[in-house]
Amino acid sequence: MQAEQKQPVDHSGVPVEALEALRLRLTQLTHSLNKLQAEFKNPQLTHYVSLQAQLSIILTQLGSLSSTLSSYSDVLERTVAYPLPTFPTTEQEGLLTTLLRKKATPEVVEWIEESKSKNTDFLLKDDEDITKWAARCTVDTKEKYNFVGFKTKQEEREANGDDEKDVDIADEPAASSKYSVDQILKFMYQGDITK
Amino acid sequence: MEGQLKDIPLTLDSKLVDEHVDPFLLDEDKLSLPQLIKRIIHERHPFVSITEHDLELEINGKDVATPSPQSLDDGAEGSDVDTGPLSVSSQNERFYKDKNEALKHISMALNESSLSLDFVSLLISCVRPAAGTISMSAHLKKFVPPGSFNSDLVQSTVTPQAKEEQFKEEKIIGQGWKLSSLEASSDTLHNAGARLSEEVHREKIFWDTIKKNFNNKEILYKTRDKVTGKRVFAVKYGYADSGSTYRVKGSVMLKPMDGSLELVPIVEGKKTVVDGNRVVRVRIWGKRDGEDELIGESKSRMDEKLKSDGSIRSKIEKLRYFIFEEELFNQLMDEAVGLIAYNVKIESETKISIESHDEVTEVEYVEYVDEAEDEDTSMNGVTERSENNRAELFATYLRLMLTLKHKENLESKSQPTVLKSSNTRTLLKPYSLLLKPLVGRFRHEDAADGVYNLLKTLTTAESKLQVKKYCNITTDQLKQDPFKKISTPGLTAFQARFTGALTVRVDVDSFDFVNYVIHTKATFQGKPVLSTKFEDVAQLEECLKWLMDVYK
Repeated sequence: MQAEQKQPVDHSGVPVEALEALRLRLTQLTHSLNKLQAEFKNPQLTHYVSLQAQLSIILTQLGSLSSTLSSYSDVLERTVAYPLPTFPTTEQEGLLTTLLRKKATPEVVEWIEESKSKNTDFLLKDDEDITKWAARCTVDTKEKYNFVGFKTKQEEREANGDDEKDVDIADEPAASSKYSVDQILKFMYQGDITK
Repeated sequence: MEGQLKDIPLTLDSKLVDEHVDPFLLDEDKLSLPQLIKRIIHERHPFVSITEHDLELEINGKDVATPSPQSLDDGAEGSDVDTGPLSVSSQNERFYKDKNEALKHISMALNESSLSLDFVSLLISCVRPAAGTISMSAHLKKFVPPGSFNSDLVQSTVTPQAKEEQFKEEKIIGQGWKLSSLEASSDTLHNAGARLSEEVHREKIFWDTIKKNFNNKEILYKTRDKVTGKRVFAVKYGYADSGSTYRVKGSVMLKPMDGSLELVPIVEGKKTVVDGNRVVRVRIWGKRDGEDELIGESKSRMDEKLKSDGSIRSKIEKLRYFIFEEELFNQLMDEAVGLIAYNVKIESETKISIESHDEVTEVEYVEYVDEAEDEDTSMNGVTERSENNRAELFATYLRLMLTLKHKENLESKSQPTVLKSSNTRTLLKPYSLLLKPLVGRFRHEDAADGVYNLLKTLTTAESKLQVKKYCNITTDQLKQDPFKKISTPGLTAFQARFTGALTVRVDVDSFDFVNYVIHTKATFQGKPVLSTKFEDVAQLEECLKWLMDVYK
C-alpha cells in the first residue's frame, strides 16, 4: 500500500478535454439556474418576460451541455472514475457516494418510465421529420396572425395593398408634373412662373 | 441522440422576449408614485384595509429562505384577510402553488447541475488543480482535497446486438419524450387558441350589444368601476347635457356579466339613482256642495318604444323617462315652498295642491302603472271624467316648461357672462319657473273676472265695455316666442264708457305673476279726472261708484 502511495498517480486516463468542455457548460448552467432560483425566491415578482428570457438561456445551455455529452460519449462511456487514497473516504462517505452516483434520480426514472410507456414498440423512422414538421407548422401558423397591435394580418395586408395603390397614383402626377420644385417655390414666393 | 438534440429547437421565440415590448405592461421598477398607488389599491384594496400586522405576516411568510407551501399560503391569506374576494384569494393560492412547484424543479435542476459540476471539477483537479478548484463548490473544497479522484479508460467489449439494443432503448425513450412534448405543445396551443377565441367571442358579444343598443345620440364614456377597479363603459341617461341642473346626473355603468351587459348605477354622493317608476300625475277636484269630486285626471303613459322588451336600450329609455319625472316633481316642490302664500300647499312629500275658488288641482308623484297591465285602472280611472283633457294639458304644460327651463339653461351657458345688475337678470330669466307663472295666471284670471263682473254690473246696456287680454304682448312677439304669454306677467285692460261722458280704463296688472294691482284712470268729457291704483276689486268698486255719483 505504501509503495502505491508513493508512486506518482497516472492521470493519463482522465479525459481532460471532455471534462474541460463539460466543466465550462456546467458552470454556465449552474450559474443560470442559481440566478433563476434566486429570482423565484425573491418576494418581489420578476417580470415574466425576463423569466422567459432566462428560461430560454437555460434551455440553450442545456442543449449545449447535452450535445457536448454526446460528442464525447465514446470517451466518457469508457471512463471509470474512482477516489484516490487522498480522498477522505471514511469521513465523507456520503459525499463520495453522491459524487459517484450513476443512477438517475427517482424523478428521472419515473420520467423515463413514463416515456417508455407512452411509446409504441415500433421505431419511428421519420420521427425527426415529424418534429420538424410540427415546429414548422407552429411557426407558419403563427405568422398568419398578428399578436400585437390593433390590426389583423388580413387588415394589414389590405392596408398595404391600398398603400401601394396610393403610391402608384401619387407617382403618376409627379411624373407628368409640369413644374419643377424650384418653379413652384418661386411661384409661392413671387407669384410668377417662368418657363 | 447526438444529432437529434441539436435539431430540436429549444429556444423561445426571440421576438417574444427581446423585440416585443408589450405596450400595456408597465415596468414595475419605473412606476411613478400615482401609478404605484393605483396599483397598490388595485392589488391590495384601499389603504384603510392594509394593516401593518397583515404586512408583517406576509413579509415573514415570504422571507423564509426555503418557503414551505404552508408558510406561503399563510402569507397569501394574510393579505386577503378582510377584504379580498374569494376568487382573488384562490387565484393567489394557485399562483403560489405553481410558483412553489416551479421553484422545486429549479432547485432540483440546480442541485443536479452543481453536483455534476463538482464531480467534473474534482476529477479535473487532479490534472489541472487551478481550473478544478475554481468551479468547485465551497462544501467540496472544505472537505475534499483537490486531485483526490482519478479515472481510467477501460476497454469495454460491447456486442453489436447489445449496442443495437441500447440504441433502440434510447430511441424509444427519446421518442416518448418527443411525443409528450408535442402533445404538451399542441395542448398549450390548443388551449391558448380556445381562450383567445372565447375572449374574441366575449368581446364580440359586448361590442354587438353596444352597437345594437346605442346609436350616436347616446353618451358613452369610459370610466372605472370603483368596486373592481376595472375599466368599463358608462352611459349618461340624465339630462345634464341638455341643460338640466338636477343633482342626480343619471349615469349607469355597463358591466359585462356572463355574456350580457348589466346596468349598474354609478353612485353620486348620497342620492344615487332615480327612485324607480314614479311619474307626475295631475288631478283636478271640483268643489261642489262642500264636497270635493274628482273631475279630471292626467294619464300616466309612456311611449310605445318604452314598452319593456328587456333590452338595454329600453331600460335606458325608461331610466331617462323616470329621471325626467323625478326632476320635474323636485322642481315643483322647490317652487311650491315659495308659493305657500298663494294657495299652493305641500300636502305631503309626494303631493302638491293648488287651490282656486272652485277647484283644487293636485300634482302628485305616484307609482307608474302600466295601463296595458292594469286595464281596470285605465277604464275606471281615466276615461270617464269631464276635465281629463284639462288635467292632461296641465301635466303637459309642466313637462313642457321643464324642457324650456333646460333649453334656457343651455342657452345661458353658451352665452358669455355679461355683468348685469341682479334685478335685470332675474327679469331676464322667467323660464326658471314652472309653477309660479301658472299660479299667477290663475290669480290674474280670478282678478280679471272680478273686475269684469263688477264693470258688467255697473254699466248698462247702452254703455260700452271693452276687454283686452294680454295687452302687453304684441302678436309679433307671440309669433317669435310661443312661450311669451306664460313668461310675461298678465295684463288685462278694460275700457268702460258709462252714461254721460265718463270713461274709465281699468288695467289689471300682475306685475310679478302672483301679485296684482289695479290701475284706474277716469276721464270726463275728455279731461282726466282720476288716476290711481288699487289692491283689490272691492276698493275699485267703491271708487267707481263714487265716480259715477259725481260725474253723472
